[in-house]
Amino acid sequence: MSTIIFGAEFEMYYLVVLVPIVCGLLGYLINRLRTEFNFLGFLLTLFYAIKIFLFTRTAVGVQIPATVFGIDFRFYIDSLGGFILLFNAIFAFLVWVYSLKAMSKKPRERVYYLYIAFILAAANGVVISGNLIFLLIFWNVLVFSLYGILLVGKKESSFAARKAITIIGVADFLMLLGIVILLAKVGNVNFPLQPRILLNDPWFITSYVLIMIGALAKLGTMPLHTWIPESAKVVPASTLAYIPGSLDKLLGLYLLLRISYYVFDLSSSMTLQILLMVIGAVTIIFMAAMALMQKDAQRLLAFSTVSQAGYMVLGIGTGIPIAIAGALFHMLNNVLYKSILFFSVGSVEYRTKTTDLDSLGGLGVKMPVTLFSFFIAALAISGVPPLNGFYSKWMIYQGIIELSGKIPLWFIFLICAMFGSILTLAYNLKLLHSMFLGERPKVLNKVREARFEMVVPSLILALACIVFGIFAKAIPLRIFVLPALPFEISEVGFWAPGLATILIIVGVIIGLIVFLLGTAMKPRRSRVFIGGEILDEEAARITGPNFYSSVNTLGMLKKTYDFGEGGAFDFYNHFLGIMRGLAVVFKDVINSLIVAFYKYIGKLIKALGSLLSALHTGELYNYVGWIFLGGIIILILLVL
Amino acid sequence: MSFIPMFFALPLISAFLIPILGKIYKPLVWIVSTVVSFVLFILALYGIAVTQQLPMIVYKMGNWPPPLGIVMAFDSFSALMVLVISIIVFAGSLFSLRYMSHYTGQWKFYTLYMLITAGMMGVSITGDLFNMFVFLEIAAISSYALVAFGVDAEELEASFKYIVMGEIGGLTFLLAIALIYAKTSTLNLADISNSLQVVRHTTFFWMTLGMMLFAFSIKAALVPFHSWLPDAHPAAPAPISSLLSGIFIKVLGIYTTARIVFNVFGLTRASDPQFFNILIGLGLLSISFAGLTALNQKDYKRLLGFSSVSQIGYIMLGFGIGNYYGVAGAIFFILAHALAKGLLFLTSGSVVHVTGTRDLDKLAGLGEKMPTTAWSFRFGSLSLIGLPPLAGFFAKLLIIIGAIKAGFIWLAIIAILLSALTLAYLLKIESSVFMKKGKINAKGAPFTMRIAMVFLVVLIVLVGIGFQPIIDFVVGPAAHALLRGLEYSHLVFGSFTTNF
Repeated sequence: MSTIIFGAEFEMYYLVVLVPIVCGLLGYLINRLRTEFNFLGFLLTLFYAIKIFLFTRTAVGVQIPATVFGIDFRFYIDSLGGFILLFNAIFAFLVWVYSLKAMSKKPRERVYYLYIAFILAAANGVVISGNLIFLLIFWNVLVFSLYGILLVGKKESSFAARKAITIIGVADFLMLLGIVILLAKVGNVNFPLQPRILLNDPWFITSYVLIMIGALAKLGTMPLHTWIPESAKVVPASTLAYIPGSLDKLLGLYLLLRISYYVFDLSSSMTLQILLMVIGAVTIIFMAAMALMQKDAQRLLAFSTVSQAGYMVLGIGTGIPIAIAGALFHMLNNVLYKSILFFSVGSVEYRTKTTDLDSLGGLGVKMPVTLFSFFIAALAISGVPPLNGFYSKWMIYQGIIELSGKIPLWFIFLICAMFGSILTLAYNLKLLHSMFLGERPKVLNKVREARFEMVVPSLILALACIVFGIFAKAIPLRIFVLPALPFEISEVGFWAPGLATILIIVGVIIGLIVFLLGTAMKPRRSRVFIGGEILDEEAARITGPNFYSSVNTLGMLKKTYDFGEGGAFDFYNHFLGIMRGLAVVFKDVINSLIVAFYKYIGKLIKALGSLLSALHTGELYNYVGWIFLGGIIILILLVL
Repeated sequence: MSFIPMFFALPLISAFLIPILGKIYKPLVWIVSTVVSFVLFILALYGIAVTQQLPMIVYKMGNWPPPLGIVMAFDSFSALMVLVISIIVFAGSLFSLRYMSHYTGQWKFYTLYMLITAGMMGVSITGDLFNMFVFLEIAAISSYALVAFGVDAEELEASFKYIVMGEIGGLTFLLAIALIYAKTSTLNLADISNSLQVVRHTTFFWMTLGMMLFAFSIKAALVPFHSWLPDAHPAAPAPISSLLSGIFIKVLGIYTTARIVFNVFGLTRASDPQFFNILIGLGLLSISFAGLTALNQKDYKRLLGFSSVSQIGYIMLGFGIGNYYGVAGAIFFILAHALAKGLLFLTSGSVVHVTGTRDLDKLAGLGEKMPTTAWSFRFGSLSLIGLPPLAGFFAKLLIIIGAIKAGFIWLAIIAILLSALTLAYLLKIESSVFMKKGKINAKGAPFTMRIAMVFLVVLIVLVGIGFQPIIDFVVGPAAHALLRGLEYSHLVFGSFTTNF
């Protein structure tokens, strides 16, 4: 495991970067053969990624092709890198397959594929980089490709793209700063650093926090998340599945793990651990609450990805091996089911031309395959056993429970995480209901199942969700997650009669009960018209147990039924009264604070700028005055 | 016949041939200036090749040995400056064919263009203080005339301000030369540097150095001596703006400062930290002050002008850091900034040529109408911001490494933070001119203009990708030439026998 091989097998390291670039460019230039080149490129990348992944099972690869100014341009790949690399390639491939139909005939389609390839190349580059400086170069390429791909969207996308590049750009500058400090203090930022840096020096703490900001911006946790919901309004679902949905999570968590446990030693600073956990917990709760309030499917999912990132940060922050493994596993799971959700919403949008939840409904019959994969994903993300989301969350809870005694008030984090699960279930049921179940607007009667190419990636991923759930220990944990981490995790027991198991089941049950009872207890009564004949109210009632039966009874009733306002969603009003309040508080207070912060910094700089340009009056004697003043100062400084 | 005097003799001769040739056949003036600048480019490459073998090539005018006669001392630093000058001059000349076509009296333009080239070349290779002054004034006076070339009120006013301030600098330099001549009885740089060691660290020593720093700071447009530049550079025709911002201020201000400080006065950071701290201070002041001011500009070229002031600050910073990486970074920055800023001013020229305005509020939607210009702008600005793997990144990286190695972590941090300003003000042009949707009647830039821009884009990418050979063969030797310090005079006196 620890043998360092400068072997022949690892020499294909550069191909995972080179192949996507070359094939993407060829496809861009020779438009007629674009699909062929792209297919070749993504498939070859996947092939090399698998080879490297297999290589990293037994060895660690290091290559130093060049040394500049004493800094090695160093390639390094270990089992963590191999794992991330593999999933980078898999998701890029799936997104590409999905995009074939989803993006066809859309404006700027051609350049979209170029960006997908470039982003994959840069993401792979980040993973095979052997030190932080080298990593930063790829990181920057990624930022600019992100800016480009966000521009491929509706007309307003340039605003979202600008917002994204502002936030990520600032985070990147801070990260560069952190790396520079580290470089100055240590002189070497190669992975893995031996011995790891203890976080007890103010310089190191600053450096860690700055680099952490870069990683968190990529993961999209609060308060650096705002560009994700913003761009969700304007870019295609495939872009969302690709960037904030999968690659950003893979890379963000990769960097966070690298700096926390390979460069620095996070467990040496309890304060920083708690900081990370607080960021994670707050993100989970607030973003899930925000997701509940959304009326646009893409936007809802965007908030949901941010909320899920909170779990990963929480897990990393605990510093307990099992929770860290849980975070990594959760990241993998999240990428799986969140891609399904984005793909499904994209398929719905492809057929109906809208993602507005108010104008959707009852599509389950028309799009059964999409419904199936969406259903699986919705259960998985809510942490319903035996699907994969449950296991990873459970591992994180285990970690938090192990903290008891080490951190006062540890249970608050646990409660936040559990409560977040309940909210997740709630907003996913809302999404499920308002898209696939319930009443179907007449205009959607001619909707058909999405194209084959769009359905297959979701199905594959849904299958993965089930397999990773049922055989969690045997397949994903044993093959992917546990070997990728530098810890010894003795035994991941399941269904142990621990606090966590009970709590999670209680959480799921509460969520279901509230959801079902809420509908049953307080049915919405509305007048129903069918061709002027008044129907028995009993027949038109939607009861709790019959909630899903509306799928079967579709077409029988023709009601004028406003979805978003009440009916099936009435239960939100009492169940989520507090949450709505919290969301409002968040939106109006915290969000405006963040906005104000960005705004005033901008204003301050602008005011300074206008003050300085007002100094340039254009009057010669003024200018000559400055010159002489400056000259006198220089002479005084020199002569005295 | 040595190739050294060719650098200034060729443009000087063609400057005086151009009026005559213009009478015979008008297009000849452009052809002559383009061909001459291309020949200079080839010569400069040859010069780089030759300096790989010989650290110093001395050409004696009229075969009078120094210190009796005037000498040309050509080392790696001179070679680099000559190369950069010839690149920008060549691109500008290509660009001028169509850009200058609606001006009258084109032969005057090309005459002045060749004169300013001769002046800058002369400054870069001369080994004589007074000779340096003469060449400096040839370049400066040509530039005064070129700024006023459009003879509109705005241009004349800008030129007038520029003359007054430029000559304050020029005459202070002359006064410093007079003082030095009175004390040392010689004008040869190498000889002066020997003589000055006797009076090292006296008031006289610091006084003359201060006067020269003052003069060169005006020429280099460092804050607070910069105020002529944001008026003069936008007023000039675009190829001239490109030349002035791209290389002129660096030859007249930065090259001279570096040469005098390191090789003539023989200062090093180890011996005189307080002087180098002044350079750092000047640099930081320029970067921040001009960067902030640039944010608020509404004029395409004026914004670029402030940007030049701000970027010159980085070069001063590099020299102020004073170790190998800092100096090499500053020299790399001269190269990278010349390419990028030259390119950006050319894009401004092609925008003005097509639309007739440079008001950022009125310009819009040119990204689709003028793709070559838009992409050239993007490459230029990305290099300026310091995006790897373009040229600007390695320049900034070297300076930052220099700062860290010299123990100025705070300086590295400030330099990185301030480069956010560069991003901010360049995005302003990008978003309003090229990204914003808008209806404006425009067609693409003419062919020769595009060729000129693409030439610079290609160089930016090549220098970025091939940074290792550039550092090994061009920038590194130039930095060593400066850091040799007082050995300069031994080399000048010691290389009598070379016949180049």
